[in-house]
Parts: sequence; structure tokens; C-alpha cells
Amino acid sequence: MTPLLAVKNLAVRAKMHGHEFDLVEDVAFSLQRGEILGLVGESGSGKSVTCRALLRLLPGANLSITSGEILFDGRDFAKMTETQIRNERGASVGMIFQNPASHLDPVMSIGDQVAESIVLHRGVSKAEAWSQTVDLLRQVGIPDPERRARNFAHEFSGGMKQRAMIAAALACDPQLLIADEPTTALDVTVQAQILRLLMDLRDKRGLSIILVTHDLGVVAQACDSIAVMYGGRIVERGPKRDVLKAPFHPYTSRLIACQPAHGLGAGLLPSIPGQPPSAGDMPSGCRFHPRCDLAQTSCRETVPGLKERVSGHLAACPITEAGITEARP
Amino acid sequence: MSDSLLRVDDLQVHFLAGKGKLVRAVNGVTFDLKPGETLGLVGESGCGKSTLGRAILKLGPLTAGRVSFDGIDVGTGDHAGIAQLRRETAMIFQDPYNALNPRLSIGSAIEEVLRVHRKVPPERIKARVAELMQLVGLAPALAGRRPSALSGGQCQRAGIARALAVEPKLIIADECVAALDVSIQAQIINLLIELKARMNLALIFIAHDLGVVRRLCDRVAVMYLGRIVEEGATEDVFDAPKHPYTKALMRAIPEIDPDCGLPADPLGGEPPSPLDIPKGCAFHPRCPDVMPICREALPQNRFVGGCAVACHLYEDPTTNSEQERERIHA
Amino acid sequence: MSTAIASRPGWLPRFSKHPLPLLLGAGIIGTIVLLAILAPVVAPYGPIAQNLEVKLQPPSVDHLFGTDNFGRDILSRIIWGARIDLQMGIIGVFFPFLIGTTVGAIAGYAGRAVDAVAMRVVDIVLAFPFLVLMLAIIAILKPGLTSFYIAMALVGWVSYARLIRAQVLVAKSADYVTAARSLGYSHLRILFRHILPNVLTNSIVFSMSDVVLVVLSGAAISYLGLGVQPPTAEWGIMIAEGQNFITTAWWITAFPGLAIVVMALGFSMLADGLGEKLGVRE
Repeated sequence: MTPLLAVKNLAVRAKMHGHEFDLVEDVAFSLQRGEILGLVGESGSGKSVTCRALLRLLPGANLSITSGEILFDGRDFAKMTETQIRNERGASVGMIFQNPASHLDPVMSIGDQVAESIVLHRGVSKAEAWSQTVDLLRQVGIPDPERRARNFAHEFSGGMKQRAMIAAALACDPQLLIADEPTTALDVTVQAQILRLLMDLRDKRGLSIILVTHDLGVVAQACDSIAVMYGGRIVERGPKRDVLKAPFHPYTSRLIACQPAHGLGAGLLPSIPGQPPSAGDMPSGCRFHPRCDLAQTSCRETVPGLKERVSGHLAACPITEAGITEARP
Repeated sequence: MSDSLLRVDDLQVHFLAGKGKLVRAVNGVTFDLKPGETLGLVGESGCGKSTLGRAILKLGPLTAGRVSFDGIDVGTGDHAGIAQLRRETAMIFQDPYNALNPRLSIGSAIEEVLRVHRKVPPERIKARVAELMQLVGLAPALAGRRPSALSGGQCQRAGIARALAVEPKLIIADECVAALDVSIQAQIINLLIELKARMNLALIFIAHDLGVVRRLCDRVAVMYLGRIVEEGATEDVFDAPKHPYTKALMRAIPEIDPDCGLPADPLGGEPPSPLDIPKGCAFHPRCPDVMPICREALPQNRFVGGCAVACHLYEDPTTNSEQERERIHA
Repeated sequence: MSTAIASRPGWLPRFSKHPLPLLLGAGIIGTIVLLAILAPVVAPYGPIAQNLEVKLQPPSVDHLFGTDNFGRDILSRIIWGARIDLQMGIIGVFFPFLIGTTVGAIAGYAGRAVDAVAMRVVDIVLAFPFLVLMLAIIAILKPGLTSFYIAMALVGWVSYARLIRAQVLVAKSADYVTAARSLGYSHLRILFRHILPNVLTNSIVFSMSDVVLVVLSGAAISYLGLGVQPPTAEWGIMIAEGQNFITTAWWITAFPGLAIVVMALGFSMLADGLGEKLGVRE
């Protein structure tokens, strides 16, 4: 089966003060219809830049895609004109963000915002758009949607705003939803509701979802597959169960181990020394080597590529591949 | 009770928000803290945990009730009493950048504390700053840097070093790891675990992340809309949560176990605002086990399996819970 | 970022990274300051040296900007006048800045009654038109530069007070201020060491553009005969004196006017550039 989305060799470059550096390099992954992919990483790992690059929504003129293909249903987003890609946004791919409040218009009712997008992309009548809007709001779990559709953003709680954002993103029935840290600003009980909603939407509509998050727990609960990013590169990807239970990359295994919720009881947590590298100041070779307890001289010299370790599970670490040692701490 | 370092008794904090609305942020909170003990204060946004933390240190308003710290009545304390409170307590904040004066290097921020409180003789100050920085895992060479030239984790360490410069008996940490990356979070939690063991520090750890609390705290208090709904030893609360809200919170923690999926029926609704607290048990509109009495009467604390729980499910109608509480406190 | 800076060759002057308006503004003001200091050296004639033989001469090689009705060299008078006008601009801004910042900071920090009183006073001062109030105060005292400075201090502080107060109100709830309180610092220390340094940039930028206003009102006051007294060389007086000859000898008013415009331009570009450099939002 051909995947809905196939990203190959994607690189995003930043220009600052006449200095150039890559924010994201050599990113490749694919997404099947109805699959939820978790894109995991710490701040500065390039996960947000990657998902914005997919829709060519890079902020500012100093960021640009320098190479790669973004094949969506056979069409290459990377090669489209500005007009063409604009038609794809919303219609083929919807997007939601961490802070729904700043992406909702404060002076327009929630219903009008969703309906506007329907009228714009589908060309239906206003009345028709409004009834579709109410229906959408109901689908995303907003109670009493006829009345709430007339409310403004400030009358919605955080969780409700995120639901409204999801409704707006789904207005034109996209096949893919990109969710950038959608639950980070929400309370845990509300986070569980939103994740449940995303999974239900996948089940009912066959929606594919890219879920960008820093929280491995969210991935473990809601995703089918994982791509772990570090220093602008994907260091490991594969089915959720394989990656979480038997990681091949030392970063993935250390990251799992240092989650406070991981394991039981009190006592010191395993931690990763040092701090994530920042773009423009990347270490040579494997980006993780300065913090890695398995690092060898070779890690400093060559940038390791992703290699398939078991079927569908890839990792970029020659050390664990050579079987010198286990990835597990 | 004489051995407690901090005693909070029926504390209430109400303040006016815009448009003359009364925010009832804290509504009768009672607990004790012993020297060297760590209490986790857990709850969702708007539950009043941060307001409570600030009221205890007299950094925010205090409407009614008593807070006594080491013999000082914080609510009515005179100038000398508050000065003593300031010498024995410190606070760590959520946003590591915002908590440090952007115009001061971290070294001079720590130095200032030592000077103001005359902790060490002037000629020892530089050495003590370096000592404190090393204690929290910062290279003393970074002393000249301003917060903007440091990472979030480094700033948080500097904030902790500044707090430790006071040589406090109590630190209140308000969501102090929430803004950090996971790998850095673990470093800071470990630092706190080591420090409290080494210095016999009492710690109130305000957090929404239950996993972090479990690692760090001796006791946990779960707050909902300004009240503690369940309180007990960490292991007791985590092993056998009693209050329906605590149970829901525990279930909502995303476990990193791929086999343990999302709860099929997550807790519905969202925390109502402290502007409009429901009658009876504040949790009743979201509670899966709601009973008619929950809509009418405020549940009193009851002691179940070592934990104090404020829930009608555990209320024995024949017991006068006030008497019960007094019996246990006595 | 760090690598971006490191990649800049060491010999390149550091200010090349500064915004253009800042460089231009600093250039203009620097030149005026230099001319003022070096007036005895660079001015071809004395500021009040009369030579009735050459009165009302149009610009020529001998008198680049021409001469006035007493035969005084306009260029020399402008260069000497820069001393007075710069001094007016700087002193006329310094005291309002000092008073306004202090009042605003204390009002914002203390809140309640102190704030209410301070802000009512600000309202009262603002209720009068600026120049009318200035003129009234100067008239009560006695015409002259000192009175101008006193009037400026009494009237001009309100803008600084409002600006600083608003920012102190915001900064007061910042975590670093709460941290300072939790560490038992005194109010004075918190206000002057922790809050003020973080909110001062806006006022500094504003003071640059305020210099323009002060110089213009100083010129206006002198023009009305209540400020600097003739025969002192001052741009405002020069314009006032020249107006009788505006149809026959335009240069008497035009060049001092141009000098005011250039200085105003310099300070406002400096303000713009500083604002950009310090990241101040308007």
C-alpha cells in the first residue's frame, strides 16, 4: 500500500547574520492512512520545524527548505507553487497548535471561524456551512454545539478551545492532521480527553495524524509509530511498541529511562548529562555523542544514517548495531 | 504537633479579579510539615496550589486562617517576624529565565543574597558563591553570565543556588521543572533529591506532574478548587488512591508503557473556575461516583487507610468527622 | 547566534551591527556637540560681534550663512547657539526624567494611596496645555534660562512618571521581583536595583525624542522673550529677531530654523535607533 505521506531527505536551512546552518537534516519517514505518528524530541530537536516545513509554513524568510521531497498522495509539496500549496493547506492537511488561544480570532464567533473555512474551501452556502459547523463541533465533543458555536474564543476553556481548533482544522475534511504539541498547555485530565478525541477521529474518519510532542507518555498512549528527533535529525523510528520496549538508539533508551513516571518508587532518576545542542552549534558526527555514555571516537567523526535493525524499526547508531553494547542503560 | 516546622490551619485566600468578581482560590487548607519533610502539592490549573504556596510565604494575599512557620505567625507577623521568615524560607519558580533579574549576572544574584543577609564575611563571598554554584552543578566560571546567556536548566540551577544561599529550612518550589526538557527535568529532580537529603530541607513541591511528585515527595496533598481533597504518604496515595479525583488524575498520567493504553473513558469536563465554585463537593459535576448528598454538603475529612480524604463515599454518617479529626490530631 | 558573532572578522568595528538610524543620529548629535565645544575655534566670528558695515548681507564667502541687522555672522551665532540649545535640551530633559522616573517608580511600586495621589497630580498637570503652563510658571518666576529649567522640571516630569509607572506595575508581578521579595530584600533595593534597571530603557529612548520637544519649546519661549535674553546667541531668539526681515533677509531666520530641524532629526533618529537596538516596543 502506498503511504499517504512520504518524506524523503528533507532539510531546512536557516540564515542568520550571513551565517547558514541546518535546522533539520536528512529527515525521512512515511505515514500510512489512518496511522498516528508521534514525532518526539526535546526543544531544539527540529520537530516543530519539520512539521511546519511539511506545509511550507516556515516562519520568516530566513528559513528555507533546501532539499527533499514531501510526497502527499503522490503530489510533491516541496515543488509546488505558492498558490498550489495554499490550496492544499486546510483541504488536504489540517494543522493544530500548542496554544489554541493565539490561533483563534478573538472578535469572531467560534462557529463563524469554522464556517468561514468551509465556505472558502468548499464553496457551499452560508446556511449549509453553518449546519456543517454545528455538526463538526458536535463531533469534536463540544456540548450544546448550536449555542456554543455563537460563543467567542474567550468564552471557551483551554480544552474547549483546542476542540474548536480541531473542528476548524477538520472543516475541509483533510486526510492528514498535524498536531503540534496539542496537549502541552492542557491539564492531564483534559489532555486525556483530547488524545481520546484524536484517536476516535482516526477510527471514524480514517484520519492520519502526526502528533508532535515532547512527552513519551503521550506517544505511548496515542500513537502507532514513533520518530525520535535529536539535533535536527531522526535518530530512531519504528512501531511504537518496538521503539519503546527495545530501543536501539542510546538517546531513545536514556530518554525513556529519565521520564519521572517511568518505573516505580522514589530515588534518583537516571538522567542524561549535559544539554540538548542548539541549532547552529551542532556537535560533529553523531549529534548525541557528547552526552552519550557509549560514544566512541568514530561517533565524533561520521554522522550515522538510519539503518533498519528489525523489520520497520530503524536507528542511527553504529555502536549498538555492531553489538558492542546494548542500548538499554 | 510541636515538632512541625510549618502549620497551615484553615487557610483561605480570596481576592478580587477584574469586574468585581471574587476569586476564591484557597478555601480552607490545613496541613503540617515537619523539618526535612517533602510535601507534594498536586492539582490542575486553577486549583489554588500556587496561590497557597505564595500565601504561606506571605508573598500573596491571605484572607483568613493561620500560617505559622517556626513560631512565626505569618499572617499577622510583625516586621521582625517576616524578616525571620525571609531568612529561613526561599522559593523556586517555574520559569527559570523569568525568576532571575535579566540585568544581573547569576553570580551577582547569588552574591546579593549573601550580602543582604550577611551570611558570610565579605571576603568569603566570592568563595561561597563558587561553592553554592558547585553544589547545584554549575561551573563557577559561569558566574559572570546573565540569564539570557544560559540554558533553561542552568538558569534553574542558578535559581536553586540563590535559594540555597539563604540557608533556608523550607523551600517552596512552584512547578520548578515544568518548563524544562525531560532530560534536564531529571537532572533537576535528582539535584533536589540530593539536596534535601544533605541539608535536611523541608520542601513544598507544587506540581501538576504526578510522576515527578512520586519520585520526590514523602507526602502528597491533592488539591481541587482550593481544597485538599486527599492527603497522605506518597506510597499510600499512589498505591491506593481514594478520592475519585485522585483516581482520575492517576489514570490520566500517560504511562510510557505501550501496552497500557489511553483510558477509554477519561474524566469528563474541565475544572470549573474558582470564580464560581459548585455547591457541596466542588468536584461533583465531574465525579463518576456522584451521590445526591455531594450536591448539597461539603464533605469533611475522613481518615481512610492512613490518608485524609474529603469525599462522601468514605463518610460514615454516624461519625462526627470533626470529633474524629480532633481525636487523630490529639 | 554565538557562531554568527564569532564568524565576524575581528577588525570589523562593532557598531557595524547597530541600526542605521542610531549611527546617523549619533553622527549628527556628535557633530553638533563637537561644534559647540569647539565654538571658539571653529566659529569664524564672535557670537555678538557686531559689524554694522556688513549688516543684512546675503550668504557669501565671507559670511557663509549671511549676516543679520547688526552685521553679526549667522553661522558663528548658530555655532555658539548650539552651546545654549544643547544645554537646554539636556538639562531640560534631565530633571523631568529624574523627577518623573522617581515619582512614577514609587507610585507604581507602592500602589494604593501613593499611586492615586501621584496620578491625580499628573492628571492636573496634563489638564493644562503644555506651553500655556510653561509660560505661566516662567512669568511668575522671572524670564530667563533658570526659570525655563524650573518650569520644564515642573511640567515635563509627568510623561516620564506615567511611562515608568505603567512598566513598574507590570514588572512588579514578574517572578524575579517575587523572588527578590521572597529573599527578604528591602523595598528600596527591589525597586532601584531590580525593577528600575529593567524598565528604564523605554524612558531613555523617550527622553531622546523628548530633547527635540524641549529644544523646540525652549526656542519658542525665547522667541516670546521669556527665555534666553538677547543678545545671547540662541536659535529661538535668532528666529524671533529675524522675523522683521523675513521678506528682505530670509537667511536670518532660515538657517537657525534649519539648525533646529537638523538637531531634532538627530535626536529623533537616535531615539529610533536606540529603541530598535534595545528592543523597545512603541
